[in-house]
Amino acid sequence: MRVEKEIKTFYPSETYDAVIIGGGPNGLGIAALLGKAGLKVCILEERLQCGGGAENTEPIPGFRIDPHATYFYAGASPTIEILELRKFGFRLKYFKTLAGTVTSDGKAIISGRFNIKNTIESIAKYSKKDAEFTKIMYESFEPYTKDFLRSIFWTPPYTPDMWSDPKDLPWFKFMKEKAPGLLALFPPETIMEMSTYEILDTQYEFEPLKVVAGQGAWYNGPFPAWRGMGIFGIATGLLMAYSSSSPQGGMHSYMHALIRCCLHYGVKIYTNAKVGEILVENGEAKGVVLADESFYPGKVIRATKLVISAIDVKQTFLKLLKGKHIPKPLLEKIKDINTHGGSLFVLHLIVKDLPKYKGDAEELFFKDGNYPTVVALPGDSRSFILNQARDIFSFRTHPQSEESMHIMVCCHDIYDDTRCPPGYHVLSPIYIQVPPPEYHRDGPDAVNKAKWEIAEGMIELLRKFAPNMTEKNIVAKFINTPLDSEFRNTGLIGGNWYAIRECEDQWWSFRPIPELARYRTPIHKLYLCHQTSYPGGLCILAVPYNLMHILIDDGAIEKPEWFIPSPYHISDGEKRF
Amino acid sequence: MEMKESKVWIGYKPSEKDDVLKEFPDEYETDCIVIGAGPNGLITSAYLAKAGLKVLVCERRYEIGGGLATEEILFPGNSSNAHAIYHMMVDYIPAIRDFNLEEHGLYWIKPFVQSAIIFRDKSSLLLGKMLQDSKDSVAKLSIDEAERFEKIVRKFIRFVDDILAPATYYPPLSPVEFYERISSTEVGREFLEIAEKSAVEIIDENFKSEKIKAFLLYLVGMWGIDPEESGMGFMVPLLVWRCGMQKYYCYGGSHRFASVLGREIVRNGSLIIDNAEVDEIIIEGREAKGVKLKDGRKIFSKIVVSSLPPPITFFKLINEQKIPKDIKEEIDILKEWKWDKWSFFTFHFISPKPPEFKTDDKWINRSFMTIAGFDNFEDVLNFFRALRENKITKVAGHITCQSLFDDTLSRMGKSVSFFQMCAPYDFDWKNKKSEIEKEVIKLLKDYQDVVIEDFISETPLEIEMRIASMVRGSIKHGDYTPTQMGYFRPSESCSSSRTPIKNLYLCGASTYPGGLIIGGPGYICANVIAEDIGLKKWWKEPDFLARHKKTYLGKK
Repeated sequence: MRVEKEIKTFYPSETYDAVIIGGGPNGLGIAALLGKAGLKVCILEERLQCGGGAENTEPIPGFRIDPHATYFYAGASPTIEILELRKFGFRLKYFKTLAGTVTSDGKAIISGRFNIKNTIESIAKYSKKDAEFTKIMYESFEPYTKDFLRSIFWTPPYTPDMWSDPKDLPWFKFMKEKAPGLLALFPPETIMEMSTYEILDTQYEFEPLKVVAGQGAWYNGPFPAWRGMGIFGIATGLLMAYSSSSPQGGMHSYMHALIRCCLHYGVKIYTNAKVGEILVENGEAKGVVLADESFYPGKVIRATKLVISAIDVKQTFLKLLKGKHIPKPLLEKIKDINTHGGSLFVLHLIVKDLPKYKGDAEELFFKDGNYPTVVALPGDSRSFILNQARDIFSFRTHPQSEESMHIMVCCHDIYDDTRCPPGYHVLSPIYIQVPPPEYHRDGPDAVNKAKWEIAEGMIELLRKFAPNMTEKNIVAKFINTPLDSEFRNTGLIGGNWYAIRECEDQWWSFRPIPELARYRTPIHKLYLCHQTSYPGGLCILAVPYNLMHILIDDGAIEKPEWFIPSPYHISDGEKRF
Repeated sequence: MEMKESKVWIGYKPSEKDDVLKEFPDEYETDCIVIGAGPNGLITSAYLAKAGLKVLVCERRYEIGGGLATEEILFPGNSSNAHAIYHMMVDYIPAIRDFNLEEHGLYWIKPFVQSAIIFRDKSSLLLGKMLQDSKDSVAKLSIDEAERFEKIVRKFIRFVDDILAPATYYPPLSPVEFYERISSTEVGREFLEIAEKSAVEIIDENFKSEKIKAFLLYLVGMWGIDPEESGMGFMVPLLVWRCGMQKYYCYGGSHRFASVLGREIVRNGSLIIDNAEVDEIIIEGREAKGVKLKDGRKIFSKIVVSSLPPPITFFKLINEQKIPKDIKEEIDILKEWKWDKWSFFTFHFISPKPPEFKTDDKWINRSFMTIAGFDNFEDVLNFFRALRENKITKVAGHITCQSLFDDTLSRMGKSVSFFQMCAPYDFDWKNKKSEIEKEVIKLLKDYQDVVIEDFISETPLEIEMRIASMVRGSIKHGDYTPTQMGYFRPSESCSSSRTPIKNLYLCGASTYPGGLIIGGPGYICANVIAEDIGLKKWWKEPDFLARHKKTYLGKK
């Protein structure tokens, strides 16, 4: 008898209510929501596994690194509540101390929502005023943080004609009601115009504190010196501080919970299913065709109701729609969407001992669970950050001098023992910013060519502050450059995590461009659900939540009973389905 | 930084008043807990979940799959099958038939050229998935040898189809009963005859040429079976026919298999939790009641299934004092458990294009597995003999270019390959690893036109680090030796998945019939549990199994 496993051939085409292109956090998020709403949904993911930038990997068995996403920002997310991710195994590890910084003259501060007493004490050592203000802020605003964040991030953006001044904006309305005192510190005309640094400067005096907050803003999206983005810079910092945690085992386990949620609601997930083209007939999206590189080249997957592109706006229109089906001027506008916000160069170190920072940090960090999971170096002055940005944005090259070396050192295993075996620590990620490959003056692979040089510069800086970071202490080094990241994960365009620059011209009503701000596209039944739409990335499941409002408004789905809409949502237009 | 200090921070919990998200609870109740999301744990869970049981699978790692691991060890951007890659029982594994796994995009590829060996003189032999191709290759040695080869392989096929494959998927018979039942047919009697022998005896008796003997010997020994041990002959047909000539590659990487099984589990209302290491199996009286996780969570259930090897299940996860005295003796036997004799050293590498072999047969460039570095039968035998004494006498092993069958592994458009060699656990890896790496590169350059752009090697220590149940790098969860095989795997009282502790079952590679991704223990365990608790089986026995049962297990 001869036995042979037959390859079953399914129909060359399949039909679903909704087809989602891309299995990153936003694709999984919208799939789960639609699945829960009763739709027959299919996710098509190009890679071996879903999760997008929220991934983990073990280049050495037992040592887990975070190539991209590393912190959990979604503590305030209504989506996680609605989807009841806890039922699918969702679990967090909380950080007693979130952030900290060290200066070259030995000053050190820490910051942690769950360690507020020590936070204030550490600041008070250098500035009584700042400590006092931090205390007031914490005590008065903490209860409102969640709803404040929801008013900013978990509300569909208004179109430009829905608001004329800040008073019309959800977060402003919220602040006016709940924290008028805080709002009164800034006149409404100017607050929208301010940068993160300017807002910080009005209230704080101790520079290292502002360095941490400013760097936080940059690594969460808006560069701290960009005017018009101040309030959002602060808010992204609050997202991080509010959650002060990371999923147990790493960001990818959060995605696992989301994947299980999708499966539970009957969502079909295909991996190695790169989409080659979106099918459009008479201005209406009808489905997709799988690319030649996929497991089933040329397979047609039809969508009766929705095609949702959970990949970036540029690839959606330029690659999957091949520049067709929309007016040329709009296409030009899409081509010009700016990705230049700084891209991540990521170093991962496996070490035997945690960095022992010199000066006050030596005592401060090693008591009472004060060791911060992220340390900004150097904490001396914002000039290092500004210089780094100048090298990147102005000179279009990676950090060139000591004056522009500023790094962020993360370590999760101090709170999560699943990350590496005892006796070791994984410093992952250690970030520095470089230009996206397409903008580098020396060509797209310039950073790749200089990667060990850049890495050595970062280690040298770390060693300056923590002399125990010797070669003997370092067991292994791994790097992923923006170009690598883009290769690994095409959704991370430019190798950054926010996809397109988060400056005022590409934010709120204008993200990615005003015509596409409300996730709709000129093509009927085709919607956007990616971090290139408002409010950007950080795996907070805000885009899918916001998109749900629009889908309900458009009549694509009935409003499910369990769906709790944003109180600030203003619907527009009429039913289109 | 001292570990003592940092441990204080681990498990930090904000107080109740802090407004934080709800998470998976600290206490949880379910019908069935499965410890370990390896292939067998997943198979057991998938059957039970579809039968309506609420199963909770606890996995220590961040990804499920155990040995079904496809990971980005050539970071960044190049994944490799870090562990299992040769799937020899795809044609039989009931789970692959019973669940519609293709529906999730699971595809299997059976490479045209299955195995090959290249000798120092660059002459070669190959085994194809079609027997005549293999015979053609052996005919290079002599026409007589090729005839003998075909004859014996045809015999092996009968043994596998009639006896070995079906026996993989039902609980073991006692040795006496097995002998009696199997000897009822002509094929059975022939099978029993070779079963008693050692691999070396079987090969010696049937072949004359050094080259084919060396080839077959390696195919058996590479899995950690001592070729000179009597009573292990029954593995020879299985390894030569299935693993030598009928193995599959899992498209998208072996992890895909685990992933789709996981989807079936979740889809049917059960749950998998990751980063969830089990610390203790809760025993009350004579019964298993649940598990305690390392992070403090407690999960209670009616049934606990462990896919871990017996020394871990019984002596690490169970408090010895909790084991009732009258069954302690039965369990204590397992303290004698023997781990695998040898493990693997694997050298993963990337090259700009698939390496090309310098040999007399171009087909070998399409081979799923190519053995290199040996000269003759004696050479292979001495290599295995040295391993028994924890020595590596030479660097020789098998090479697989995974990208030939799977362009999804490299996101960077490279070719991902590995060289693997049998290697002892007790070895000075710390000091000798880089020396061996150099030798491997030399060997590869010797046999191939290859540009190695990057590599990473994994010793048995790393295997143990990745998959903690593979103690001492035991890929089979424990040695294949007559006293630990068949009815005696893992022990007489724990055979057939049940244990002396009520409601505690075993389903891992250490349980009958064993490891190597054959899916037997998981399938048998699911059947046993279903029978014990009166669960309606939604699945139908595979035809090959029904036929076997009719022939051999019918009334006498």
